Amino acid sequence: MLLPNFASGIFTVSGLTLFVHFMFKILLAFYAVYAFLLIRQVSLMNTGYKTEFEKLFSFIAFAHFVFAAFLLVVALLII
Amino acid sequence: MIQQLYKSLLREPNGVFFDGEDNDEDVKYVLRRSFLVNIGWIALTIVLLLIQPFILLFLSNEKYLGVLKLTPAFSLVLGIFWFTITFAYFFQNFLNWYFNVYIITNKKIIDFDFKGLLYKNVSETPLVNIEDITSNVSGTFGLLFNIGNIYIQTAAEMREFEFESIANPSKVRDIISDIVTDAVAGNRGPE
Repeated sequence: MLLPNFASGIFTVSGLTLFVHFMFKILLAFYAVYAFLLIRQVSLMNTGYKTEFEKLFSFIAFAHFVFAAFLLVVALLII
Repeated sequence: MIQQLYKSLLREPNGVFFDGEDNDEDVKYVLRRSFLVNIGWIALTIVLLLIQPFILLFLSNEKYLGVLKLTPAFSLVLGIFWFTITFAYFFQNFLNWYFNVYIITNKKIIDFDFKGLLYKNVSETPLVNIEDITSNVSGTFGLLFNIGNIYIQTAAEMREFEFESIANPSKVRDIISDIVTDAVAGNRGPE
Protein backbone atom coordinates (compact mmCIF):
# COMPACT_ATOMS: atom_id res chain seq x y z
CA MET A 1 0.00 0.00 0.00
CA LEU A 2 2.75 2.48 0.96
CA LEU A 3 5.47 1.31 -1.40
CA PRO A 4 4.41 1.88 -5.02
CA ASN A 5 5.13 -0.51 -7.86
CA PHE A 6 7.65 1.20 -10.12
CA ALA A 7 7.75 -1.77 -12.53
CA SER A 8 6.74 0.38 -15.48
CA GLY A 9 9.64 2.75 -14.78
CA ILE A 10 9.79 6.00 -12.89
CA PHE A 11 10.18 8.19 -15.99
CA THR A 12 6.72 7.51 -17.28
CA VAL A 13 3.59 9.49 -16.45
CA SER A 14 2.19 6.78 -14.20
CA GLY A 15 5.62 6.08 -12.67
CA LEU A 16 6.21 9.73 -11.89
CA THR A 17 2.73 10.11 -10.45
CA LEU A 18 3.29 7.09 -8.22
CA PHE A 19 6.63 8.51 -7.13
CA VAL A 20 5.05 11.87 -6.21
CA HIS A 21 2.31 10.11 -4.25
CA PHE A 22 4.90 7.99 -2.45
CA MET A 23 7.05 10.99 -1.52
CA PHE A 24 3.97 12.85 -0.31
CA LYS A 25 3.14 10.00 2.06
CA ILE A 26 6.70 10.05 3.36
CA LEU A 27 6.36 13.80 3.89
CA LEU A 28 3.13 13.28 5.83
CA ALA A 29 4.83 10.66 8.00
CA PHE A 30 7.65 13.08 8.84
CA TYR A 31 5.07 15.75 9.52
CA ALA A 32 3.30 13.49 12.02
CA VAL A 33 6.63 13.02 13.81
CA TYR A 34 7.12 16.80 13.85
CA ALA A 35 3.59 17.23 15.27
CA PHE A 36 4.46 14.80 18.05
CA LEU A 37 7.67 16.71 18.82
CA LEU A 38 5.61 19.89 18.97
CA ILE A 39 3.56 18.37 21.79
CA ARG A 40 6.78 17.69 23.69
CA GLN A 41 7.99 21.21 22.99
CA VAL A 42 4.78 22.78 24.30
CA SER A 43 5.01 20.58 27.38
CA LEU A 44 8.61 21.74 27.93
CA MET A 45 7.64 25.37 27.46
CA ASN A 46 4.69 25.06 29.84
CA THR A 47 6.98 23.54 32.45
CA GLY A 48 9.41 26.46 32.26
CA TYR A 49 6.85 29.23 32.11
CA LYS A 50 3.31 28.53 33.30
CA THR A 51 0.43 30.78 32.32
CA GLU A 52 -3.36 30.59 32.27
CA PHE A 53 -3.13 29.39 28.65
CA GLU A 54 -1.13 26.28 29.50
CA LYS A 55 -4.02 23.89 28.82
CA LEU A 56 -5.07 25.70 25.65
CA PHE A 57 -1.59 25.39 24.12
CA SER A 58 -1.35 21.72 25.11
CA PHE A 59 -4.76 21.03 23.60
CA ILE A 60 -3.90 22.79 20.32
CA ALA A 61 -0.62 20.87 20.03
CA PHE A 62 -2.37 17.57 20.75
CA ALA A 63 -5.21 18.29 18.31
CA HIS A 64 -2.63 19.21 15.68
CA PHE A 65 -0.85 15.88 16.17
CA VAL A 66 -4.12 13.92 15.99
CA PHE A 67 -5.04 15.73 12.80
CA ALA A 68 -1.58 15.12 11.27
CA ALA A 69 -1.85 11.41 12.10
CA PHE A 70 -5.39 11.31 10.71
CA LEU A 71 -4.22 12.97 7.50
CA LEU A 72 -1.45 10.39 7.14
CA VAL A 73 -3.93 7.53 7.56
CA VAL A 74 -6.32 9.12 5.04
CA ALA A 75 -3.46 9.56 2.56
CA LEU A 76 -2.41 5.93 2.95
CA LEU A 77 -5.97 4.79 2.37
CA ILE A 78 -7.15 6.94 -0.51
CA ILE A 79 -4.07 8.01 -2.47
CA MET B 1 -6.51 37.75 30.57
CA ILE B 2 -6.52 37.83 26.78
CA GLN B 3 -3.97 40.65 26.90
CA GLN B 4 -1.36 38.14 28.01
CA LEU B 5 -1.52 36.65 24.51
CA TYR B 6 -0.24 39.71 22.70
CA LYS B 7 1.24 42.22 25.15
CA SER B 8 4.99 42.46 25.36
CA LEU B 9 5.13 44.11 28.78
CA LEU B 10 3.04 42.65 31.58
CA ARG B 11 3.05 44.19 35.04
CA GLU B 12 2.39 41.78 37.93
CA PRO B 13 0.52 39.33 35.68
CA ASN B 14 -2.01 36.95 37.19
CA GLY B 15 -1.54 33.22 37.02
CA VAL B 16 2.07 33.34 35.88
CA PHE B 17 4.59 30.97 37.42
CA PHE B 18 7.99 29.76 36.32
CA ASP B 19 10.18 26.79 36.97
CA GLY B 20 12.30 27.40 40.07
CA GLU B 21 10.12 30.12 41.58
CA ASP B 22 10.54 30.51 45.35
CA ASN B 23 7.55 30.72 47.70
CA ASP B 24 8.40 34.28 48.70
CA GLU B 25 9.08 35.37 45.14
CA ASP B 26 6.70 37.65 43.20
CA VAL B 27 6.70 38.13 39.46
CA LYS B 28 6.91 41.90 38.95
CA TYR B 29 7.19 42.06 35.17
CA VAL B 30 7.15 39.76 32.19
CA LEU B 31 8.79 41.08 29.05
CA ARG B 32 8.80 39.77 25.50
CA ARG B 33 10.05 41.00 22.19
CA SER B 34 7.77 43.66 20.79
CA PHE B 35 4.71 42.25 19.03
CA LEU B 36 5.73 44.21 15.94
CA VAL B 37 8.65 41.83 15.31
CA ASN B 38 6.00 39.21 14.46
CA ILE B 39 4.79 41.13 11.41
CA GLY B 40 6.97 39.10 9.01
CA TRP B 41 5.68 35.65 9.85
CA ILE B 42 2.09 36.83 10.31
CA ALA B 43 2.19 38.33 6.81
CA LEU B 44 3.68 35.11 5.42
CA THR B 45 0.93 33.08 7.12
CA ILE B 46 -1.72 35.22 5.43
CA VAL B 47 0.03 34.85 2.07
CA LEU B 48 0.20 31.06 2.50
CA LEU B 49 -3.53 30.96 3.25
CA LEU B 50 -4.40 33.14 0.29
CA ILE B 51 -2.33 31.27 -2.29
CA GLN B 52 -3.64 27.82 -1.32
CA PRO B 53 -6.56 27.79 -3.84
CA PHE B 54 -4.22 28.94 -6.63
CA ILE B 55 -1.72 26.17 -5.84
CA LEU B 56 -4.51 23.59 -6.00
CA LEU B 57 -5.83 25.09 -9.22
CA PHE B 58 -2.33 24.92 -10.68
CA LEU B 59 -1.83 21.32 -9.64
CA SER B 60 -5.20 20.17 -10.86
CA ASN B 61 -4.87 21.76 -14.28
CA GLU B 62 -3.24 19.47 -16.85
CA LYS B 63 -2.35 22.49 -18.96
CA TYR B 64 0.29 23.43 -16.38
CA LEU B 65 1.23 19.98 -15.16
CA GLY B 66 0.94 17.87 -18.26
CA VAL B 67 3.50 15.34 -17.11
CA LEU B 68 1.70 14.54 -13.85
CA LYS B 69 -1.77 13.13 -13.38
CA LEU B 70 -2.76 14.09 -9.86
CA THR B 71 -5.92 12.44 -8.64
CA PRO B 72 -8.70 14.43 -6.95
CA ALA B 73 -7.95 12.48 -3.74
CA PHE B 74 -4.32 13.64 -3.85
CA SER B 75 -5.38 17.24 -4.46
CA LEU B 76 -7.83 17.07 -1.55
CA VAL B 77 -5.25 15.72 0.92
CA LEU B 78 -2.65 18.19 -0.37
CA GLY B 79 -5.09 21.08 0.10
CA ILE B 80 -5.82 20.07 3.70
CA PHE B 81 -2.12 19.45 4.35
CA TRP B 82 -1.32 22.94 3.10
CA PHE B 83 -3.66 24.44 5.71
CA THR B 84 -2.20 22.19 8.40
CA ILE B 85 1.37 23.24 7.61
CA THR B 86 0.32 26.89 7.51
CA PHE B 87 -1.31 26.52 10.91
CA ALA B 88 1.79 24.77 12.31
CA TYR B 89 3.99 27.55 10.96
CA PHE B 90 1.79 30.12 12.70
CA PHE B 91 1.59 28.15 15.95
CA GLN B 92 5.32 27.41 16.10
CA ASN B 93 6.26 31.06 15.53
CA PHE B 94 3.70 32.24 18.05
CA LEU B 95 5.02 29.82 20.67
CA ASN B 96 8.58 30.97 20.02
CA TRP B 97 7.51 34.55 20.60
CA TYR B 98 5.21 33.84 23.53
CA PHE B 99 7.58 31.67 25.54
CA ASN B 100 10.79 33.61 24.94
CA VAL B 101 10.28 35.76 27.99
CA TYR B 102 12.31 37.83 30.39
CA ILE B 103 10.88 37.60 33.88
CA ILE B 104 11.67 40.17 36.54
CA THR B 105 10.80 39.16 40.08
CA ASN B 106 11.51 40.85 43.40
CA LYS B 107 14.65 38.68 43.64
CA LYS B 108 16.06 38.01 40.20
CA ILE B 109 15.90 38.27 36.44
CA ILE B 110 15.29 35.15 34.36
CA ASP B 111 15.79 34.83 30.63
CA PHE B 112 13.95 31.95 28.90
CA ASP B 113 15.23 31.13 25.42
CA PHE B 114 13.53 28.62 23.15
CA LYS B 115 14.63 28.16 19.58
CA GLY B 116 12.80 25.79 17.27
CA LEU B 117 11.90 22.39 18.63
CA LEU B 118 15.11 21.33 20.21
CA TYR B 119 16.73 24.21 22.05
CA LYS B 120 16.03 25.56 25.52
CA ASN B 121 18.24 27.87 27.53
CA VAL B 122 17.42 29.49 30.86
CA SER B 123 19.65 32.09 32.51
CA GLU B 124 19.05 33.95 35.72
CA THR B 125 20.81 36.38 37.97
CA PRO B 126 19.93 37.88 41.35
CA LEU B 127 18.96 41.55 41.18
CA VAL B 128 21.73 42.44 43.65
CA ASN B 129 24.32 41.18 41.12
CA ILE B 130 23.23 43.66 38.47
CA GLU B 131 25.78 46.41 37.99
CA ASP B 132 24.86 48.23 34.83
CA ILE B 133 21.85 48.52 32.55
CA THR B 134 22.10 49.94 29.04
CA SER B 135 19.45 50.41 26.40
CA ASN B 136 19.85 51.23 22.74
CA VAL B 137 17.64 51.80 19.75
CA SER B 138 19.11 51.35 16.30
CA GLY B 139 18.06 50.78 12.70
CA THR B 140 15.16 52.21 10.77
CA PHE B 141 12.63 49.75 12.18
CA GLY B 142 13.85 50.37 15.73
CA LEU B 143 13.77 54.14 15.43
CA LEU B 144 10.39 54.11 13.70
CA PHE B 145 8.67 52.00 16.35
CA ASN B 146 10.91 52.69 19.37
CA ILE B 147 12.14 49.12 19.61
CA GLY B 148 15.59 48.31 20.93
CA ASN B 149 17.78 46.12 23.08
CA ILE B 150 18.62 46.21 26.76
CA TYR B 151 21.96 44.98 28.05
CA ILE B 152 22.31 44.04 31.68
CA GLN B 153 25.81 43.64 33.03
CA THR B 154 26.14 41.45 36.09
CA ALA B 155 28.95 40.97 38.57
CA ALA B 156 28.80 37.20 38.42
CA GLU B 157 31.26 35.77 35.88
CA MET B 158 31.05 39.03 33.94
CA ARG B 159 27.87 37.81 32.27
CA GLU B 160 25.68 40.05 30.22
CA PHE B 161 21.96 39.61 29.73
CA GLU B 162 20.53 40.82 26.48
CA PHE B 163 16.84 41.62 26.12
CA GLU B 164 16.21 41.81 22.40
CA SER B 165 13.67 43.88 20.44
CA ILE B 166 11.99 45.38 23.48
CA ALA B 167 9.31 48.02 22.94
CA ASN B 168 10.12 51.33 24.62
CA PRO B 169 13.52 50.20 25.93
CA SER B 170 14.22 53.42 27.86
CA LYS B 171 11.11 52.92 29.97
CA VAL B 172 11.95 49.26 30.59
CA ARG B 173 15.54 50.17 31.51
CA ASP B 174 14.17 52.64 34.04
CA ILE B 175 11.79 50.03 35.47
CA ILE B 176 14.59 47.48 35.88
CA SER B 177 16.87 50.10 37.35
CA ASP B 178 14.27 51.05 39.99
CA ILE B 179 13.65 47.41 40.91
CA VAL B 180 17.40 46.78 41.22
CA THR B 181 17.81 49.88 43.39
CA ASP B 182 15.00 48.69 45.68
CA ALA B 183 16.48 45.19 45.85
CA VAL B 184 19.96 46.46 46.70
CA ALA B 185 18.56 48.82 49.33
CA GLY B 186 16.51 45.98 50.84
CA ASN B 187 19.53 43.71 50.84
CA ARG B 188 21.59 46.21 52.78
CA GLY B 189 18.84 46.57 55.39
CA PRO B 190 17.95 49.71 57.33
CA GLU B 191 20.98 51.85 58.17
